[in-house]
Amino acid sequence: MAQVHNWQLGRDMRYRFEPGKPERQFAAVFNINRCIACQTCTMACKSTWTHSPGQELMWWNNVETKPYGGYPDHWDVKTLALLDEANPGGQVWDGDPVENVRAPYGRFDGQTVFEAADGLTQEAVGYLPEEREWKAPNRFEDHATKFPAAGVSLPEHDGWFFYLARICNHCTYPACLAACPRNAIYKRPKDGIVLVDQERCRGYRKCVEACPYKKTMYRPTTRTTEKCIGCYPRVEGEDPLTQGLPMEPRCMAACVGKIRMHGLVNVEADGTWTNDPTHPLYYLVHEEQVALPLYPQFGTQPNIYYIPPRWVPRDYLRQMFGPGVDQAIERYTRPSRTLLALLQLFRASQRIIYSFDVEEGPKVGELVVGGEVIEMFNDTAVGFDESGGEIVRVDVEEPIFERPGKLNSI
Amino acid sequence: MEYPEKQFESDDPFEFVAVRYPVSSERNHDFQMARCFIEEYALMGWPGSQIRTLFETPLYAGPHAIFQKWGSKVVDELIREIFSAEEVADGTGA
Repeated sequence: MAQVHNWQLGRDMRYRFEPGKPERQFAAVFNINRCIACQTCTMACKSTWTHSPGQELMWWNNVETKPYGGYPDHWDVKTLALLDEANPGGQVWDGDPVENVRAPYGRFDGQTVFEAADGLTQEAVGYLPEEREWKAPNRFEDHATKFPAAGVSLPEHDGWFFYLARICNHCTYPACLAACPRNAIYKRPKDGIVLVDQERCRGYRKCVEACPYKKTMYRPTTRTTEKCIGCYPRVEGEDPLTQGLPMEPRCMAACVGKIRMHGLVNVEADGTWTNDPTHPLYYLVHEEQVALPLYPQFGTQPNIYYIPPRWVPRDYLRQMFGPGVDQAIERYTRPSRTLLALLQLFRASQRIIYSFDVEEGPKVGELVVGGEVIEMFNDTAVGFDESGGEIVRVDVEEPIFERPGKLNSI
Repeated sequence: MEYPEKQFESDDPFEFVAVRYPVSSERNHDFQMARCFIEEYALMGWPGSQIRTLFETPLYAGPHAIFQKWGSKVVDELIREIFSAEEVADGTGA
């Protein structure tokens, strides 16, 4: 058992293995404010990787309607309940968000899934979902049903839902990896992508039980576990479309709402991110701190980050994304000039962006947001590849094309 | 291989289920959501007149639900408020 540093918790914690240092870490930022749950990402993944016999219930990417939907059913509520049961009333944070790459959200004083486990029968606190819980990618929401003849009466929400797109977090300290009795799960040194060695896996499903995000899935036809592979052939540049240059995974590249920004970040030996404000993900997570990890208190140091939805009750969001929520929403709502331009780079190219720059443009207007006047500039965001070559450039002001109604064939 | 087509029946296990998530009654959540719609598009350089069409069109279910429930006057007022600052270029105002 090793002591590792978890910067999302602002402290060291217990983990089964010594930390490995990948050359780079697979990471992404999802802007929930712009997700419309069209499930294009879900189907892009499904049609690429999980369309074979035995994979019918597998959705490596899914979008669930919060607060109620989930895949598998109620995965987050169940894991939160297990942690609360192990440490009643103690799952709390201490401190406020600060600019410190080793503890940007203060310190988590509760127990992680590793610390709440006994270390003998379980490496991480978790549960094994029943088969029925995997049966819909967004169960109880958005799926077909029949109205009884007498009709149905449902409670009406006063608030507005939001949609949570999820893939494997390719965690820095994966619970699936720690739980595997066969050591069949590994984290790739080159990009931190977490994979299951199908030759070694015997389908014990300890990883399914341990992953707090429930993103490892059992395949009955092969009796092994499978999971999101981070579209590693695309990340490696093997897709002929870009002639050897790294590409975003399918779910990211397919996003019509332009909510996703994917990349590979440089990391230090202790797992913190290398200071590089020109990297779009570093800028969003550490400079502006508008993107936050999902349930950081689980302790796996997940690498998919979310810009929280600004209209949702804050207590709910603080439980889901930690204490950085209020600051993140404040900065997102009234974005800096750089942030506003960077938001336009989301999904602007299929190629992985390693750095960005903002070229200043003219002032084009002023808006009143939250009672304050903010200036708008039509700046240009430019994305660069690994060697500094320009990939894409987009302006803050989006061009608008209006299709004449008489040409609409729908 | 062809599968037989079976219609959903009321005793299928896929029943409608919903729970109410408690939210504060101190503020109007529809208005707050409407502001989000307007500001998200405004920050991408959309003019207010263009944003208004999102509320008018039934294809945009969220904004249109607010438009139907509260009426055009409320939506116009919110758009006007957000674009009320002095404009320095054409095409950015309501």
